[in-house]
Amino acid sequence: MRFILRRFVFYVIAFWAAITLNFLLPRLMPGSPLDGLILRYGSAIQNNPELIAQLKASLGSADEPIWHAYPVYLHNVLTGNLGMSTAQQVPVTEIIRNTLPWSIFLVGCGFILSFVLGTFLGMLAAWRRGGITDRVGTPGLMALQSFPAFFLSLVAVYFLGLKLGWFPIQHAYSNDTNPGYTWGFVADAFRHAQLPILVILAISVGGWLLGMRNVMITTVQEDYVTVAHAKGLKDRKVMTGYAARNAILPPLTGFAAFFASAVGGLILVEVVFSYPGVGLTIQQAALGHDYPLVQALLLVFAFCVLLANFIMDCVYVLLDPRVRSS
Amino acid sequence: MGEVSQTAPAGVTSMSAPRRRRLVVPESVRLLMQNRMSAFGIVLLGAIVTVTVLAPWLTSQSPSVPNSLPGQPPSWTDPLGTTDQGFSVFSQVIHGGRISLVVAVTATLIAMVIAITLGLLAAYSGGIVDDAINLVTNIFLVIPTLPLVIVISSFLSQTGPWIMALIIGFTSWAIEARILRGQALSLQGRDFIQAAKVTGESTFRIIFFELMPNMLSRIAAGFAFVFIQAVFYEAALEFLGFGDANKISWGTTLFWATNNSTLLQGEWWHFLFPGLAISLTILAIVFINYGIDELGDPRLRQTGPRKPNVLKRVFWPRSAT
Repeated sequence: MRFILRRFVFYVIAFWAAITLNFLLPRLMPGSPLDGLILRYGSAIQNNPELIAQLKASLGSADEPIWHAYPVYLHNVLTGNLGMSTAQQVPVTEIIRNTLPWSIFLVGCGFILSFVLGTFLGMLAAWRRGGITDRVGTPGLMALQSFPAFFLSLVAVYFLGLKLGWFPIQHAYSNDTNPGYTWGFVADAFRHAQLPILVILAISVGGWLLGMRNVMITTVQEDYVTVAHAKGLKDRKVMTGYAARNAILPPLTGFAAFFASAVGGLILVEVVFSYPGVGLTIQQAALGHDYPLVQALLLVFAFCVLLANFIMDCVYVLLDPRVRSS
Repeated sequence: MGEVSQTAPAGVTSMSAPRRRRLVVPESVRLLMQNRMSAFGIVLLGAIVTVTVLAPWLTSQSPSVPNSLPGQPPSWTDPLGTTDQGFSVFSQVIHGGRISLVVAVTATLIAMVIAITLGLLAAYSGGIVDDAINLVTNIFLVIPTLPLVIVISSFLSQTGPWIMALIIGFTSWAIEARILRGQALSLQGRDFIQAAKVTGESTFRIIFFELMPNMLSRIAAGFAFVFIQAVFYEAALEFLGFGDANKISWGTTLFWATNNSTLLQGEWWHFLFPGLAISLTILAIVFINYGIDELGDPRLRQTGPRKPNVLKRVFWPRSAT
């Protein structure tokens, strides 16, 4: 319990740091982002004093000292008041509500598939060192991992989508279907998510494989594995129940690293596939200098990553009795 | 020749090199060349760097002057085809490596200097300094890098190569700082550090002249690791449209390859070759890193099928033979 509490306090501090960073960034940059916005959007902003006041609060202005603006900003963020998108003139929270589920769907499926597949292949590779999985799978998937996400996506779109026509190549659902919880729509959404998920799977499965393999190589040399063999247990039983069971925990600590890179991959995959998640939205918003949306999305990313890490810490405690007792 | 070899290798001979060689290959590189995976990586990386350095002599076509028909597939005159503005893709790819690699190396240097300084300072100082640095490191570890980098670039009106190197460098030091701190912690109880402390050497001197030289192998591995990140982020940023689109690099070539929906028109050569250049660079470092790992961890080194027959030999001696 103390472990969980310690982690929780850390994530709260980390999130506070992310908010503060978000607050300081526009104020530290050369020039005034607000002036840039007024130049860009002109009358749309100037005729709207409410919007100007709100932009000043989040971007900073010369007439308000930083120690005055900071508490206001903190209060705004914590009460969910993230402002209006300058480009779309709708509340930022509404945009997030529409886009975040798509991204969670992609990353969730990608994570589960890559963890299951990578751990399984890593187990096989370590069990038969120099066997077919180890000789072909390990370097093969490692090589696949070194292809950047955007390049893999482009290759997938071109060869699997455009040339072979196996997958739809754009958007999250067909234009002629109506979003809603109908069978047709859900099936269509799954169909459109297949290729993006495949790309996320391809870039992340190698990491799990290597992590599992390297830990399991040491566990297969442990005494209890020898004992299990000596008891005359079946090879497969020793592999899954003894060696793999004890090797599966350490790679899980690599989850933070996986998730951080998966978020990067997600942005690139969404951009290539024009998939309407938070990744595509942050790129569009940043290119269009839609600062309220950009700032809010950075917080969303930070929050999701922190939350995922915290959930993983809890899972770890459930799986590993040693952490629980210490 | 004789004069040079008498003066120059003074430092080399004192570093215990019994046989005199004309070209001194560092011990570590020689070890890496013996490993099949890292040897492949070193050769591949060497080839990529050579081609980018020699780019102006390898092609007569300028990467930024349209001198062919637009949108042509690979042919004898344009070995990798042309872009839809008539630039030679071959020329763009081999010239583009210059900015991509220089930005990545600069960013890596910045990140490693930060990582070494903070990691070793934390380990050596201990106490509240350690706690503070540790907290900052952990926070940077969990804040997702690519969104952060995107946000920073959106606040800057223009992101040239040097700014980009700065941004990437300042956002990708955390993992290495943590690893180096861990290693420095195990070193700092050793006698030579205590001795240096007793003789009254400054913290700066102990960190950079006592601790650091003993961690060079890990620092080299860290360099490779951060370099992979830097190549990736540089290309990703430019691909997403946050770079200077007029400068020729692998990322911007990719950006143009998708920006004008050339992909949907079937111009595969426009995105495939710059993408392959980035991937091969990363692949080369991954393979070198794999070799470094195997050198450092002997358990990973022994290959060949696992031998469950040790047991068989104990319990059924006859069947084992």
